[in-house]
Amino acid sequence: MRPSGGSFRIALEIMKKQNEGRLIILAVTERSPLPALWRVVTEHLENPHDEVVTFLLRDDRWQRAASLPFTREVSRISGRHTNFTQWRADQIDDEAALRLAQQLQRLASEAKQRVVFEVLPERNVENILEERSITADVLIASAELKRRPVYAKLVELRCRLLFVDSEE
Amino acid sequence: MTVTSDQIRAFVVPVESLRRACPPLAAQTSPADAAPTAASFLSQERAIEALRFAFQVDRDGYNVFVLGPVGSHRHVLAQELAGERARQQGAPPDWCYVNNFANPEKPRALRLPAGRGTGFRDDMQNLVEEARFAIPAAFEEEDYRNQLKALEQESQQEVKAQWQSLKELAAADGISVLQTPSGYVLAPVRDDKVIDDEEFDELPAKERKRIQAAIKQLSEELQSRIEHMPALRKNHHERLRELNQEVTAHTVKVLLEDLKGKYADLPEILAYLDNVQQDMIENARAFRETDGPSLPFLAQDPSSVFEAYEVNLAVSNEAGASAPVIYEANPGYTNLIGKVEHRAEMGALVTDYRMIRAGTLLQANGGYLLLDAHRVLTRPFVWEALKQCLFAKQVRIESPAETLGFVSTTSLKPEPVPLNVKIVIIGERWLYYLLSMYDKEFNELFKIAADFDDDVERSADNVDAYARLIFHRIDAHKLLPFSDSAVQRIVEERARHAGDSERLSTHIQSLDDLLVQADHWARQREAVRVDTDDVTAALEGSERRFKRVQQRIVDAIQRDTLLIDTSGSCVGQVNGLSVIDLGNYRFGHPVRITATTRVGTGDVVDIEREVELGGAIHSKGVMILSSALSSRYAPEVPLSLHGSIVFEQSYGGVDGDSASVAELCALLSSISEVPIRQSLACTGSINQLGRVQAVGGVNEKIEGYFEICRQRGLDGTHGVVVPYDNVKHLMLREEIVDAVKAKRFSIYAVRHLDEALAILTGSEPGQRDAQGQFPQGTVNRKVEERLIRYATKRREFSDSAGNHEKAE
Repeated sequence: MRPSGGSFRIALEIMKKQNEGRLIILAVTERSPLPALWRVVTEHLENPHDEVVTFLLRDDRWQRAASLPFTREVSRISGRHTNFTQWRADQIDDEAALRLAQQLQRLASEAKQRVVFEVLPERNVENILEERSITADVLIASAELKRRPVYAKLVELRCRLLFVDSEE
Repeated sequence: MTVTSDQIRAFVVPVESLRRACPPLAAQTSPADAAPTAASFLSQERAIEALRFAFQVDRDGYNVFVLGPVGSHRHVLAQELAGERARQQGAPPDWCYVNNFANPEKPRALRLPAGRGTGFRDDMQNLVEEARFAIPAAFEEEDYRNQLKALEQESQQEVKAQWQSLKELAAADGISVLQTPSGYVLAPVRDDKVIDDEEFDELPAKERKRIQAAIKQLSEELQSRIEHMPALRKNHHERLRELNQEVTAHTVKVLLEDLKGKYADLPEILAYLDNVQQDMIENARAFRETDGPSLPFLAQDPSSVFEAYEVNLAVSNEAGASAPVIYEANPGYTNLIGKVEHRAEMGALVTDYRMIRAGTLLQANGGYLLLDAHRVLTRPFVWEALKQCLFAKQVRIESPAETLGFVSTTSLKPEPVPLNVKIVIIGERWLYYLLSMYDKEFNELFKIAADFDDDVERSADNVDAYARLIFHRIDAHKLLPFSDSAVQRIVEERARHAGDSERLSTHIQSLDDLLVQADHWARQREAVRVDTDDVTAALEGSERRFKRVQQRIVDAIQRDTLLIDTSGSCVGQVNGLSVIDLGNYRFGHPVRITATTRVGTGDVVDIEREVELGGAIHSKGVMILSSALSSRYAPEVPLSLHGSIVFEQSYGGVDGDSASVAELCALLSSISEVPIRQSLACTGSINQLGRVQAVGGVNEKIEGYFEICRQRGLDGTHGVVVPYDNVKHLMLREEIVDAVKAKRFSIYAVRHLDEALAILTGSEPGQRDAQGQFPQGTVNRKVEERLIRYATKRREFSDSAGNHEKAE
């Protein structure tokens, strides 16, 4: 699941056109408490035509750290140092995305709910939201996003916003 | 010159010497008076003394080999005497195999006083049962749970503090500690955001340098703390283990207190209980994990931990009992030495100390073990293993394959058990002598030989004792009472079994057989007492069952297939007597011996030897008679004779020298042309001086010839010439005694060749006079004259041959 702001926008538009149900957007990071967020999502599902679109805001701190030539990863088991490379940063991102996708898939299956999952760099999300072409009914996000730049864009959306505290 | 009938009658054996009757029994005996078993072994004083001596000498190598024929009840006597000694000794200790916690492959052997092994085994089983409940209960206590929680919190706090301090240290330098799935990345941050390469490049050089140095230093600090983490975890586990052990130790100590008190007098057991206590403390977790494994082949069954405290009671004796006396009927290696059993588990053979099985050597430890020699010697590896145990004075239970190094797989090596056992090996004499000669270690290990006599002197006292023995055997077999006359008849039969009228056979098995069979015949006629007729019926029945071969020979003689003359006279032909031994039965029958002579070079040819049918002793007999012939009849002239002797119609082997008198008589008859009376048969061996010597089987030989003559019709001329020295052995059947009494059959006893010649030929043999000459017309004179003629003819022949050569 690579960042793909264009495909995400198209997915949203198609789904909106095809269905008469509600569109719920779930915004998460790799550290979000997905079960708690999903619980809130399921509370807002009203009929079988409701759609859930999940986007993972990929944290670019790994990419940034990897861009520095002197950063090294220290093994938790042995304490051994290795260069922290771009490849390793991608690997961590991908693993996090895969883990979340699998977790989400499991939750959606249990709820018999179709769900779209996309991974987006934080910057792309801001661009998408700037176009204001998205007309979601509800946006459920992890409370931690309040501390991220994307928060400023989220609050401008014309939908109901729900921030779920990670403590829940 | 014929001998008179009076002269011949002088050699007739008196009727009373043909069968020595048993006198009336001195005292009335009954089963109630039956003597104890050991006392019933008449004339075995030598063996009894040897056994008692061996059992009393508590030194290495004083083991016993009991020599004697099968059926002499050697086992009974040895077992009786061993039991007698064992009752004075008391029970030896019990032996248990227990787990060796330090090295499970080498289980330990523990010694306990007799009778306490069972209790110890049960005590340990109860201990485990109690521990299975008491230990988990101790871990459920509130106090333990509080201590555990505090310990875990303390440990978590310590780890947390480590990380918190590191993060604070990093934050002070503007560095963030990022956690990856497998470790940590230290990266510079600004406004809670990681700086990328572009931002970093925009920083002043001094700041860049500081950041790099800080990251390097923090990395080292991080590494150091990571390396320290296992130690922290280990420390935590250690403290947790100590806590668990403290709880377990307290519980186990309480559990073991009573046991230690109970076995306070046994330091070895106390030391083992200390080991158990230590192991239970170390394996406290196993007592708490009560659930079995989800997959049995993937995890160790927790119950196996408890099995490690079980006691394998290998040898158990009863307190206050006597020392063990064991007869091992099947002394295979594992039966004797012991074995380590295995069980199949998931396709593999596994074992542990609980599967060690003691053999009879250990079961009899501290007592007596009776073994059959031939079984010990014929079972693979047993003899060597037995000697090894006796030399080492310990029993090491291992398979023969391990002993020989044939297997390399790991198995148990149980601790050897000290051995102090008296071995009694029972075997036949030849085995003893073979072992003595060829196994140098045998004499070192079996210093005592208990030699069983085959017979006992037939004194008045012994006859009474023998009667008591008979009553004892009657009692032992729960037979009908025997009349005195039946007992007398049996005593007579036992003399006959001994082949000697002056001795009684001590072969108990054959005595038992006779008694049981006589009892059978008495019961058949619904009698309440066994009488003489029943004994006779038993004897005749037994004889009938074995008589087939004898009957065939008698039939062959009667039908003239085997040629035996029992009337008339013949030159160079005599009736010899031979005995066939069929193991349980032997019988005699006549055999025709013929001799021919002519001029020769002094050879007497034994045809049996020439065709390799004659045994060494027979050949020796022929050589002796040849020597007797030349020294007696041709002391001053060369023996110029060629004689040949043969057992006619004999198609099997011939051995023994008991026909040498008959052979010499046939030879002398041939030389002198004096015929031999065919109504007589002859047996006896001869020495070089013409003395007739005793032979074996004289009763059977006489009876064999009598049977032929009886069937053809006794006319008073029939008889047998036997050595005088054999008269004491005569225990002939009453039928023959009656025939002799009626003068229809005669037994002649001779001391010298001349006496045999006189009886067989009816001619005077003749004695040398003052001039050294045999009287004219005597057999000896005729022999001498004929030999001189042979010598002359030979010389003439030699001279003419020499002249002929010269002329040429």
